[in-house]
Amino acid sequence: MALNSPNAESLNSLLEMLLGEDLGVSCAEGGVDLGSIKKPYGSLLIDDTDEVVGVILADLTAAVSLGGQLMMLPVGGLEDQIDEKDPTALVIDAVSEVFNNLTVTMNTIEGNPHVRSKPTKELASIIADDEQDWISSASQKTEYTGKFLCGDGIVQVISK
Amino acid sequence: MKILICDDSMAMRRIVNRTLRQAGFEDHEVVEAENGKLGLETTETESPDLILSDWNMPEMTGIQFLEALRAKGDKTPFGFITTEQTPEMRQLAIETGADFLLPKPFTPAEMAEKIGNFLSE
Repeated sequence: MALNSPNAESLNSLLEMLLGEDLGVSCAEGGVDLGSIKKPYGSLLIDDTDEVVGVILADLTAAVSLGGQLMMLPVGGLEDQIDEKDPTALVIDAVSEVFNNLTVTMNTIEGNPHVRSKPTKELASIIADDEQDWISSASQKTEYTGKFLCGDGIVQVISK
Repeated sequence: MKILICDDSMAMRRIVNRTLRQAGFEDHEVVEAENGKLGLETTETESPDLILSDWNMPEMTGIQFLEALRAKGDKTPFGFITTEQTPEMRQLAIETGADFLLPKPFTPAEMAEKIGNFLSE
């Protein structure tokens, strides 16, 4: 079953409630090109039968920004994590919580299966360790772009 | 008064703790557990006055934690903090003995409204 993604307004509303700020992200449909996002992190989306139905991805800047802002961490330290391409476990745990909250919005979209999110990991690990090769060859994504706490970032929702 | 926060996410435990303070419960002692199994053990050793638990956790889920607690005759007030909001899950939680569900995302005011009655001295 195809997974419909939230519109930009719904995502901005959720992020404002979580982070206390309207990030003003914009949204566009498009083809999947994993090479266009730097060091992506993601959470698999599974339905009530534990089948994978999609994945939420964020590039390094968006992931560190969202996780760090949720935890109210200092920007300087977050920028260091981006520069060193080495986000802390706490930041990744926090972005996992952001994605978890995003499922609430996805579950309100008519026609969507009820989904929950798996813990966030590097996309490379999801594809290799969790055997989710389909992500590389998926055809359609919804991409959200905006100015996150630490700079321009990308979040994508890809339906299996 | 003592509050047990049971969630496998360290980030979420910190957020709940922070929101408790923002909601005016900064004077209450907080203890934490990473899953339902540890939550059950912590309930025995710490005797919390209120339990705030996630639903989806490894080892033992929140609903299994609640079932085990109530099976022992433990009536500690128990609330779920969760993204799981289907009518079926809500009904299962209440039938199992949950006192309330606090849906994510939540504000300090919403938390205060849900838990205030259980923490009055």
